[in-house]
This record gives sequence, structure tokens and C-alpha cells, in this order.
Amino acid sequence: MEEYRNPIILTSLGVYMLICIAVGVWALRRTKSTQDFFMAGRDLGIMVTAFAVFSSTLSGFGFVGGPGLVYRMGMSSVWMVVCVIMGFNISFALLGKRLRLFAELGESISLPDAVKLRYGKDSTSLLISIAILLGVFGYLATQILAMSVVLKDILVETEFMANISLEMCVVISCSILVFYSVTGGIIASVYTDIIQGGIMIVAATLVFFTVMYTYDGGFTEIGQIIQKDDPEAIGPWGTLGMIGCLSWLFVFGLGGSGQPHVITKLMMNKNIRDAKHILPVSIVGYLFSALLWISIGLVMRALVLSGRQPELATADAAASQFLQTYAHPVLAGVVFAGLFAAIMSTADAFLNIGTAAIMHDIPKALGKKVKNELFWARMTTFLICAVAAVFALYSGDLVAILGAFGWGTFAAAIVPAVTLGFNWKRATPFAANTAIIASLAVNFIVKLFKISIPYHIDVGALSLAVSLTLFIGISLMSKPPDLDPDVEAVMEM
Amino acid sequence: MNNIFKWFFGFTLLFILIIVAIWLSPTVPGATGTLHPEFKTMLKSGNYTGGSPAIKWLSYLFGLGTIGIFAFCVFIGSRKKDKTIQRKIYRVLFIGFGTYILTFSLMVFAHWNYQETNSTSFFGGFPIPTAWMLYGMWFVPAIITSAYIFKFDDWVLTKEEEEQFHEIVAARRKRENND
Repeated sequence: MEEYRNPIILTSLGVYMLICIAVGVWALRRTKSTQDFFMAGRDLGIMVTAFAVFSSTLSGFGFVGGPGLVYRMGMSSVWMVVCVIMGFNISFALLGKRLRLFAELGESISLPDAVKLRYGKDSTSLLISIAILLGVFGYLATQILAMSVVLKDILVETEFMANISLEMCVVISCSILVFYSVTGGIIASVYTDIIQGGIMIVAATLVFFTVMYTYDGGFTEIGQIIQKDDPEAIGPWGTLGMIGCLSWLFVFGLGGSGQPHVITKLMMNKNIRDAKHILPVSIVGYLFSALLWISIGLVMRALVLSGRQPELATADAAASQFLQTYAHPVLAGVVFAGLFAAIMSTADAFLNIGTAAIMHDIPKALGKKVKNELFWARMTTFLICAVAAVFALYSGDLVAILGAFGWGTFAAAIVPAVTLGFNWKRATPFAANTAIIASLAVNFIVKLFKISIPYHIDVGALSLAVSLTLFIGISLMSKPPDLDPDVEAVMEM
Repeated sequence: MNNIFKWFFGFTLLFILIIVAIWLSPTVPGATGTLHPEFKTMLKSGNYTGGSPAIKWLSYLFGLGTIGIFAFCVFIGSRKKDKTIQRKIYRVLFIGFGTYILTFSLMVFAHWNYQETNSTSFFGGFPIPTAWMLYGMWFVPAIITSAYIFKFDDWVLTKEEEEQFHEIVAARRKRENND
């Protein structure tokens, strides 16, 4: 079986990509308007929405970077996962019903559209669109880069593509992504999310059990090996320490409700009441998928410490090394498909909100109207992917900088203005604008000037705390805004 | 309706003060880990923050502050005009967040004990404080999730509210069409 490892992996990837193309062709027939392209006609069922929510949340980072962090730092990064039930609770308590009501009331086709309806100001929706675009390019570029690097690692093992370049891998992976995103818009994106989410759950569960049987003593033996070398590494705070971990709990727990590619999905379900079923399905899907994050990282640390495995070249190689050395070839094939699924499901969500920002939100905020919006939306999707691909290949550190604090940027900019602002009639557009600008400023200044925050407090946590305080403080000190009576009535529900 | 936001504002100011206090406290060298002496791709814990009593307690307060902000957000998202319903919701939320804070505190205290005694006791495959984290901190919020799922129709969106919403939308469409 071992000699067929690479063909099995390639076949799995090939089948997965063919399915994505088929969904794109199918979704093309269902995409007749911009409402369909950006909002799936607000007609999604429970399972489709729930899978779209959790698979967009867990990007390729969960399959590559996450296990790498656990290998490198012990339990520290597990806090990004431990916050997930609380994070989804916050998102649904504040936005599960509210965003859906706003989407129907204003026929919104994007988050900035709903923001315009809530605040009645173009400036606020423009700033939200800019924040989204900044995050989109960084995030999308890192997703494309990750997808291409993994594809190259797989293809160089074959005889016929041993010398394939990274550029060619970017072209191959982006072609599939662009194809289904351009043809089917968000409909293709959310229906591929079902397949992608399903693969992620199956792959992660199988990996979890494979890890458990790597050592006779299961996780206890793995934990004891790590503890013998460094008791803190298997303690609740890992090697990073308590403050850094808690800053992750804060920014990943509360910040989840500020991720535009995720919360936009809460505007697309057919029935408002479906939110009560979408929440548990999303949580369960995420929990299963996150098993891979924790288990591979821990077992690889234990394997290296006990001398059964040579040291890895980089921490990020933890997942691929485990799959190539310890997993059954068929499982490796499923997990590699799962990895692509995780990356693509996030990337297509970013493509969609980025296209909406450029084609719809920014022109609208500036008082312009684009004719033949659906055609230009498709063209823009292609262009954004092309620019992000070039950005990924040639921008050097910039892509890493933008990608690294994408989550925190979104969280700090969007949580006050949207998550809180949609639940507080007193919130003013000026407070929302100030909070968005302040959040971007703190994020960029700390990162660009390499300001060191003690105990590794995450910059996203700092900017989120600042933007929250400014938003509430300024709103309390301002004159209450005049609201559209319909908006006021909906906010009282 | 604004009272909760006034309290929230005060709380976020306190939270920022905790961050400032952490920032201004003398740094414990190597508190966020050092390179592993044998494996360069791994980190090893350095002088843990437990070495400084001030940082130890500030860390605990930082954790309580984080949970407090989570609680404010969920309470804000669960406000209702009907005070009887709101009291019922808040009761469940107090239980949920009370249990969460208790679990967090037990995890922190178990970890302090883990450091002081070099305990090697395991539960469910992990050291005791880590087990509190994985089985407690991770799953206790399911109390709040359950309330959302099972009481949605009574507490989150009632049938009357949904009907009222559809009337608002219909009236709005009519006005838009007339314009």
C-alpha cells in the first residue's frame, strides 16, 4: 500500500477538485442576480448555513499552522479552539437573529449594506468596506500561498511533476477556486462548504484516533512524555504563559463575531428561526474538525522528544510529516483533501466579501451605481484572486503581516460597530467610525513599528479593547442618534 | 436600556487598566518561553509568571476581565422588553457565567498547585489543570448554548415578534414601491 501513497493522495485531491468544479457548474444555473451571487437568494437551509459558518471559521491555519503551534508551544494555542463554544454563543446571542432581520428589512447583499441601514451613514459603511478589503487581501493571499505550498510539496514527489514551480501551483489551485467562485458565487461557495466541512470532520476524527493509537498509552503517555521534558508545555498555558493565552481567548472568543466572512453567512438562511439549529451544528462541526489541531501537534512533540521522529525542519511541517509517516495512505489522502477544503472554504468566502466590497459597497458609499453588477462581480472575483495570488508570491513580508493579524483586524474593527452597534440604539455613526479607525491604527502601528507588548499580549486583543471602549464611551457622551423607525422597531425585538 | 452599557464602559476601562498594569509591571525574563536547548523548532517554558506575585494575580484578573466582557456581550444580546422574560434569561446566564468563572478559577488554582507540587496526576489523558481547561472551559459554555436552542421561541424571537417583523417589512416594501 505504501508505494501507492502518493497516487492515492493525488487521486483524493483530484476527486475533491472535480467535485468543486461540478458544484460550480451546478450553481451557475442558480445564480441569476446579485442577490443570488452575494446572498444565495437568502434561501439557505440549516445544514448548508451551519457548515458554511464553521468551515469558513476554520481556515487552512487550523490544519497547518494550528498543529505547528501546538508542536512548538505545547498547549498555548489550544486556547484559540477552547474559546469556540463561548465564541459562537456570543456571535449568535448578538447577531444570529439581528443580522438576519436587518438583511431582510433592507434587502442587504453585504455586511456594509446592513451597516448603512443601521447607521444611515455612507461613511460608516465605507470604513467597514475598507477594513474588510484590507483584511481580505492579507487573508486571501496567505490562503493561496498555503494551498500552493502544500500542492507543490505533493507534486514534487511525483515523477512527472518533480520540478514544478510554486507559480504553477498557484495557477493550478487558483484556477479551481476562481472557477467555482466566478460561476456560482456564494451559492457555489456554501454548497462546496458542505463537502469541505464534511471532509474536514471525517479527516480530523480519523486523525484523532490514529494519534491515540500511535502510543500504547494513548494521550496519557503522550502527555507524560511532554511533561517529563517540560511540565508547563502540557499545562493549560503551554510555554507562552497565562497572559498571552488569555489574550488569545479574548480575541478569538469575542472576535469570532467580527469575522465578516463568517457572520455574513448569518444573513443568508431562509428562516429566521433556523438560527437555533445552526448554532449547535456549527459548534459540533468545529469541535470535530479541531481535534486534528490538538492531536497532531501533541503527538509530534512527543514523537520528537522521545526520539522516535527526527526533529522537524519547521514547526508547520508537523501535520504533513505525521500524515506522511504515521497515517494510512488513504487517510493521508482524505486529510490532504480536507486541508484543501479548509483553505478553499475560507478563501472563497473572502473572495465573495471582497468582491461585494469593491463592486457594491464602496461605489454605493461614494454615491455611484455599477451597471450590470452580476457581470462585473464575476470579473472582480477573478481580478481579486489574481491580485491576491501575485501579492502572495511577490510581496514578501507584507503578506505575512496582513495575514497574521487578519483575525484581530476584523475583530477590532467590526465587533464594536456591528456586533454591539446592531444591539444598541444609542450607538452613533461617529463612535463606530472612530472605533474602526482606532482599531486599524493600533493594529498597523504596533505591527509596522514592531512595538513589543509584554507577555505576548495579542495586538488584536489590545486594539479590540481600545476600540470597544472608544465606541461605548463616545456613544454614551453623544446625543442619541435619530433612527429610521423600522430600524428602531427591529432593534427592539 | 443604557445602564448596562454604562456598566460595560466602566468595565472596559478597568480591563484596559489591567492591561496597562501588566505593561508597567517589571517583566519576568523568559516568561513567554525560551528556545528548547535540544530542538530549535520547539519552545520550552522559561521563568513562569508565577515567579512574580503581582503578575500572577494580574493574570488572574485579566482572565476574569475577559470572561466579564464575554458576559456583558451575551447579556446585551439577550435583553428583552418584557422584564419577566428578561429575568428568566438573566437567571440562566448568571448560572452559565457563574459556572464558567468557577471553572476558570479552579483551573487557575489547580495550575498554581501543579507548579508548586510538581504534581504528576492525570485525568482524562491530561494533567489536572489541563483537564479543567479541556473538559471544563471548553464545554461549560454549552449551558448557554442549550438555553439558546431550547428557549429560542420564548426568549430570543417570539412568534408575535416575528409576525410584527413581517408586517414592518411588508409596509416598508409598499412604501418603497409607491416611491
